[in-house]
Amino acid sequence: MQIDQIIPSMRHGDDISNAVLVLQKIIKDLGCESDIFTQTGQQETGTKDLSSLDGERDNIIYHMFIGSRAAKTLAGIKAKRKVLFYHGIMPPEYFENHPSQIYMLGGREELKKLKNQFEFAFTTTKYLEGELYKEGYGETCVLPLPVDLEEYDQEPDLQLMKAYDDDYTNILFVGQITPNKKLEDTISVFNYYHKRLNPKSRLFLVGSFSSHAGYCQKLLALIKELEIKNVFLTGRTSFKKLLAYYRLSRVFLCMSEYEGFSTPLIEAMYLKVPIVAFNRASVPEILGESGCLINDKDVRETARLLDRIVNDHTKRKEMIRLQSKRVTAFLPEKVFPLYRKVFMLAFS
Amino acid sequence: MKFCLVSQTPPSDLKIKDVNRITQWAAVMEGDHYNGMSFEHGHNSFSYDFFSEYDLVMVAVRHETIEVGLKIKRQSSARVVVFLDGEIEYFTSYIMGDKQVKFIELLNTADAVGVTHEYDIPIIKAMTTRPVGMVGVPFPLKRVREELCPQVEKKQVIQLGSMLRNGFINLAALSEIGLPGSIDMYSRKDEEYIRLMRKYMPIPQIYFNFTPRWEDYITQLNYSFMGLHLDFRQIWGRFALDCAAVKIPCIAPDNFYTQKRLFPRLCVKNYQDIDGAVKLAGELLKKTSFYEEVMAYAESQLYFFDNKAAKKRLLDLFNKI
Repeated sequence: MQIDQIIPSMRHGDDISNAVLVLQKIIKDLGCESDIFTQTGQQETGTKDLSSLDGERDNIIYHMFIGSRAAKTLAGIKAKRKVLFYHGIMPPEYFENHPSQIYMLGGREELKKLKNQFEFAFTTTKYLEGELYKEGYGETCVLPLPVDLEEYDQEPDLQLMKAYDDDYTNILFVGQITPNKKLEDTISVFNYYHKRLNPKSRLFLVGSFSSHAGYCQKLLALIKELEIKNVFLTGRTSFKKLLAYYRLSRVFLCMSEYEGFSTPLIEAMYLKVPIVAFNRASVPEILGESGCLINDKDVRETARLLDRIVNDHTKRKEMIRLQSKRVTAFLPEKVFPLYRKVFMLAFS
Repeated sequence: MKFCLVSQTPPSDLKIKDVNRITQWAAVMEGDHYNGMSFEHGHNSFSYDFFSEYDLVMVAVRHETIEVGLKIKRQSSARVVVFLDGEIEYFTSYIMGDKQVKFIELLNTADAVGVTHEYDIPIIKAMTTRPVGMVGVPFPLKRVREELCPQVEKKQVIQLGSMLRNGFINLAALSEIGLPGSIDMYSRKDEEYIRLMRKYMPIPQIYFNFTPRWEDYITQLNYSFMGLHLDFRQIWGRFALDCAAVKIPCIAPDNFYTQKRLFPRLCVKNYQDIDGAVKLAGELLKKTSFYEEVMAYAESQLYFFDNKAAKKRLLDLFNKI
């Protein structure tokens, strides 16, 4: 049996791209053939050009997270079974006056239009399943995004570890630097924390800013205007450096207003970094009973909460215990068999 | 009634304005406006007897216009209402002793005294036997609502007003709230001073506006989410009134008469009550019902401040003469 995957674009290190590779491995472990197709010009090693996908196919999984020409191509492809893997589409309103807004609006349209193409739809959280229901999808299934957490047991980048091996408190955010992440709020909280509560502190904002350079410029201007020292926009880093940032940090702070699924939250739980996160979209579902959810963006209260988590040893320990318990639900030994089981049922 | 306002501000062309300033008295009373010092310094070719052609002269008193008020009363036949154009502390503490004597003399020579805060009434009554009344300043609500400030989407920005008085305290409160602020610059140096303070204080993002014209100021204010101004003066409080007119709440102490009347639930203990201000801002941000309730109340009180109601208050005081 052949189960192919179509993804609008593949990027090395990107969460969804990583998941597509993990799924390919799971499918192959089931004894099936599996190719990954992407749009022309969007390929990475191991993927094929979508235009080469011809003839009738067995099964196709289409990964949707943005509007794409691939969706139009999909409509013309003959296959026994087409299945949607919905990763959430960032709300277009966060991308006013940015070219990517059109792809997000397009994605929302495609989600509606392609409904009848798919036999059923996978998604990664109940929150996203709600978005599917709203568009009229009936047959759905929620499975956590497969993350190969064993990779995270590697040695971190030692040079980076050494560079920041001091008595400073590091606050961390990991994720694409895009407007829905509301990093201006993260910076505002750190501004208060750094100047009022703990001058010996740093904020690491780790993630690619290439998709929205204008937003990054805005953040840099804000950092300059606020005269805050010790805010680091690292850009995209190597995996080992990413591990080092987690190991160096005392709290993971997420003020994001839209997360379809958040691999960094899973990473932070796995790597024992207490999480403070804004209670919105999929975040509460991912954290379960763990982490510290904030219901409003009160800068002073959030900064004080960071301070408590940094200094209160018992609270830290308890948070880490609950997070470590929660993350077991996302471990490969739990998640991968679920996929195997569901794929066997779905595609047999 | 033929009316005239004498103040320390430059003479204005009453045909083109309808603004939230003391000159609005001349507009509302369909009268004239003169600069008092120009009489005192002999820049006008008229003597003080000139004012006899008016039925009522309102002298907006500052230290520069105390003598002017006395001369108008003594050298003309006009009825004179003294209007306290400033905080009570200005008269009781900041002007020199000889001016204070003249000020008391003016309060007792004029026909009546108009004040801007009910708290001033017992103080002034202790200094004069003349009728004292709360008159305030007329507010051009119709122009604000119909011409200057259409309904717009409010941004999460807190308007702090001018840095001129108690600016540090307002900045400190804003820092504790953590939302962006907007400042009406008094001087171009404000921006640089704030930049220097930022090294030590977590002052959020600030939008700087330079709007000497009130029309431009209120147009900007219309985009804010709330106002916050911890001012130490016992005054009328144009700031709170501007906020209510553009339908945003205002946090301030009750030494603004307008604040006390429009936003009683948003009054802080005093002009240094940063914690109180932060708490109220938090409630406004978190509780939509609270925001709506305070705005509904303010809206119900706005009638008191419009041109018509202000004119009636002045005429009531005049009738006591």
